[in-house]
Amino acid sequence: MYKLSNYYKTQDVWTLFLISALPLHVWTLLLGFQDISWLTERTNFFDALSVISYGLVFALFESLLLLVVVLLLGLLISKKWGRSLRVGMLGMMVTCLSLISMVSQLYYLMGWSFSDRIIEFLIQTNHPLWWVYGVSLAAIFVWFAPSVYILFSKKLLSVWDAIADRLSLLMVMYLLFDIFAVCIVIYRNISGA
Amino acid sequence: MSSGFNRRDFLKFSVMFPAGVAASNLAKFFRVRQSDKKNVIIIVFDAFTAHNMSLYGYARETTPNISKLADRAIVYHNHYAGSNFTSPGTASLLTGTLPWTHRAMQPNSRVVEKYFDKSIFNVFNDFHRMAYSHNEWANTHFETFEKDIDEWIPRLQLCNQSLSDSLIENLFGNDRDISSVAWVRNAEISGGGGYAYSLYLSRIISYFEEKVYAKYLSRFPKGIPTSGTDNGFLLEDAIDWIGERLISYHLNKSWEEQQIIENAPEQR
Repeated sequence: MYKLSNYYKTQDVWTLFLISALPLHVWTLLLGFQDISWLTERTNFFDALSVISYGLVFALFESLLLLVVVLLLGLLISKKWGRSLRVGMLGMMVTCLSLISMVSQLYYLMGWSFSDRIIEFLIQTNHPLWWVYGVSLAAIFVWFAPSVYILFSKKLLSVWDAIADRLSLLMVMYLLFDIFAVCIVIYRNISGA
Repeated sequence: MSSGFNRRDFLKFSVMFPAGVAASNLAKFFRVRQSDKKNVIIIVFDAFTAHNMSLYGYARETTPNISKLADRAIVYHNHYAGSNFTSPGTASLLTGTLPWTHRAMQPNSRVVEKYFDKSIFNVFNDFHRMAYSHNEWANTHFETFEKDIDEWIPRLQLCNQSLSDSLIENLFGNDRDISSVAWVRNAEISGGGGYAYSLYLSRIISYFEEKVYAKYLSRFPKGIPTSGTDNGFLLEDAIDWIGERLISYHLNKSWEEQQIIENAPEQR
């Protein structure tokens, strides 16, 4: 029978939460702040701030969901490898996944599209789907490779731990934003703003 | 040449008789309805410019149905909207006053209290008054005038909203507008498509949205113009719904009247 306490200490769960939540919050804040002038022009500053607040609340909820998935995934990692390796692997994996997700969203947000040359090349190969599968495999490799490499490189693990420590601290700051956001959302829903 | 009423004619007549009786009853019903007051339908298009309407001289035929309607209607060529966006513009239309009088000048704001019972709904107070808008800000006005509206149709009822949107709107019922904007806001950066602010949940939104719009693919192979927004709405569907609702209202009313007559004590 799996028992979560056999795999994680409270500190591990907290670290994983902070690492999972950071990219989601950075993304929400980036989009929110680049959007705030558009929103303010069409509504008012408080409404624009409230839209971002809702975004942060959704990001917090999303982070908790992601944490649950990450913790469950961690149960698949052998106990023999120890807690610090498990947390390092999972943290690296979730960060890489979030980076890939950001790039794929940027593709749509920036309105990028493949150039005619690439399209022509894909048509000429007669097997464009193979390329799509290839790129997907490459993305999966980018996602998994660093977290697997951590298993074999103590140096990478210690570097990642140091990075994770600093990122976690940054995320604690963002949690303060979340508290403000939750307050704004509660205020708006109570007052019927 | 025989001009008599033969067996074949009798059979034809007997087939037609029930339909004829039904048609005569229906005609009676509609005659009664026609002699009643006429239905008044007010349709407001928000952010709809005359410059792009063929009715007003736009080169491409963009509004053939409105042009057809215009052939038997009064068309204004020098009309100015009360204001430049939903809240004040709709309030002007509903109260017949200018924005500096009704004061609903902020986004999603309400008219001042003295206009609460001076809306267009109040003018038609011996009618059955229905109101619908897919626009949350117009619904704020309907909420203000609610006591003069007999049937205020919920926004989501005619919207093409996905399950995820309605979930958020129900969850934050007191702040539907802003919460739904945050949930589905299409945060494009440089003219692309785009997602809302969340990194993963926005994929779920897109998934549900695509499911909602898939059923329209045969009618709109290039996509619905409003897709990708929080106000997905098809006018023809809404008009059909309102048409059906009006007919069912009249039929129900006629049934209720019938019940009242049947249940009334006999007068001697």
